Amino acid sequence: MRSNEEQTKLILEKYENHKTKKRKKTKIITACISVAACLVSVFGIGSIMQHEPDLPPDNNNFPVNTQLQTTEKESNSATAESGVYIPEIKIEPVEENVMADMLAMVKYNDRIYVGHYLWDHPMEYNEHKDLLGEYVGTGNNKITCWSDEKDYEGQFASNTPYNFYTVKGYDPVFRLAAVMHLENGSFIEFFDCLNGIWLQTGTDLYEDLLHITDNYTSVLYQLHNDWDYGKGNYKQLDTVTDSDIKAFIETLKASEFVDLTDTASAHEIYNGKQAHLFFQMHDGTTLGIRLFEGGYVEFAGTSARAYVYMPGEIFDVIFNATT
Amino acid sequence: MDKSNELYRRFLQGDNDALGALVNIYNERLILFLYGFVKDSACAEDLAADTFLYLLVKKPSFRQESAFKTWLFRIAQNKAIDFLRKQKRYPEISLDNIKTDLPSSDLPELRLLQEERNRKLYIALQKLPGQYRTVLQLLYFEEMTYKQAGAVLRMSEKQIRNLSYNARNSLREACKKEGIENAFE
Repeated sequence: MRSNEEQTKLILEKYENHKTKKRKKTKIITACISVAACLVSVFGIGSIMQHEPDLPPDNNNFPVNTQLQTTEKESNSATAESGVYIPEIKIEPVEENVMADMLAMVKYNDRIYVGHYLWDHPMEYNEHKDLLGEYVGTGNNKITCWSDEKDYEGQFASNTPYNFYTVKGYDPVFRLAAVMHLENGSFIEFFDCLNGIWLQTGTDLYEDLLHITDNYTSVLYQLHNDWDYGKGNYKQLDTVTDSDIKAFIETLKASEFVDLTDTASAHEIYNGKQAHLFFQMHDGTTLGIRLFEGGYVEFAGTSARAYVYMPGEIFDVIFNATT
Repeated sequence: MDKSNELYRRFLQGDNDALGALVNIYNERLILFLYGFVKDSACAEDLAADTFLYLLVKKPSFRQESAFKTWLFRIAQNKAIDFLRKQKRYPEISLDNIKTDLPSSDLPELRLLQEERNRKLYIALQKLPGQYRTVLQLLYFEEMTYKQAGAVLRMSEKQIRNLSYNARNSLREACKKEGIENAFE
């Protein structure tokens, strides 16, 4: 093992190497910009052909999608004048970035998708591979604390090396799936783009993007204490009627999103009573929502802080049955 | 005032000797902490070097109402997570996934621990799932408060209390097997 003095010496050597590489890189970039400027002026501005990706190693039966299909989905009724805006996530090197969360993320069609993971509901690859649509690309695995501007540019800029696919039944503007081959198995994880969007009512998220209506086979719940201590103990929500659950969903869809940013409520609700519901969907996925005392509902497993506010009788029925 | 805060301020003002002093204070502790993630001595040592290198390259400032130590360990954890992600592995997050491989008694890291008892405790700690191990390492070996550990792990104080409660219970069982009684006295 190195002594502290040797370690300090190594750190300073690495720093010198880093500075040298940066100086060389700056010269190359400057030269490339000059050449590129010439080419653009000669050929004009046009689209750049994407390198056809190799077939993903996950399943050679999937067709390779070399045309990146995008849909500019007018998926909700929210406009710039109404609803709650979830700010766009920007990824860029920031000098004081040490407080940034190390979330798995990928850039696709200039939108940032963030890994959406329900810890106790992992999706094993063999059980869920039918969810996968078309292969769209692979994370470049270049983004780290050391990244400079170039690493953040371009399609599939990412801090992961995973292959990404569309997800059957979900809009790719909202959701992609990553296939991960890990030491303890192969899994699928959703990557959701829930930023840079307006949400007005619950329909905008829970119906238009998540398709909750009549699309679940059962509902589980978990007491907050069990959730907090990571104990599992999932229970069937069988103390309320199907009608009550349907009524809850209809009210959720009709209710409006509220912006709790910079309000005391944003912190207080996390200190109060809470409930955790998990809708087992027909496609084998799990849709988690978190209920907070007072009528707030949050989409679970995501870093987006977006709350539907639906105080009232039906909220209380479900909340009381799950707390 | 925490000496580390002052050293880092001097370093930002161009005093590289202050960096050496920070390495003296934190290098071995960072290696111990990072070993818990990567399970490889040489790798832990390199990641510790990278943590300090980050300070040299980025020279980030930090809000000085928190301890420099808390902030430094946060950077180190990011480094470890980044490294494991590049290796196509997540750090353990499942409470059921208990590691059974133990570091050998010749592990260099153990030489950093002066007392035999601490060495046994460290070995027992490596048996625990990732979050349990990390939180106890911060609370016990680094003597952080719940608030400081929360700042490193991006959790609330309450979550740290809950996590450490479960972690201590698991560690008690692991310690019994190592012949350590009264692990937290």
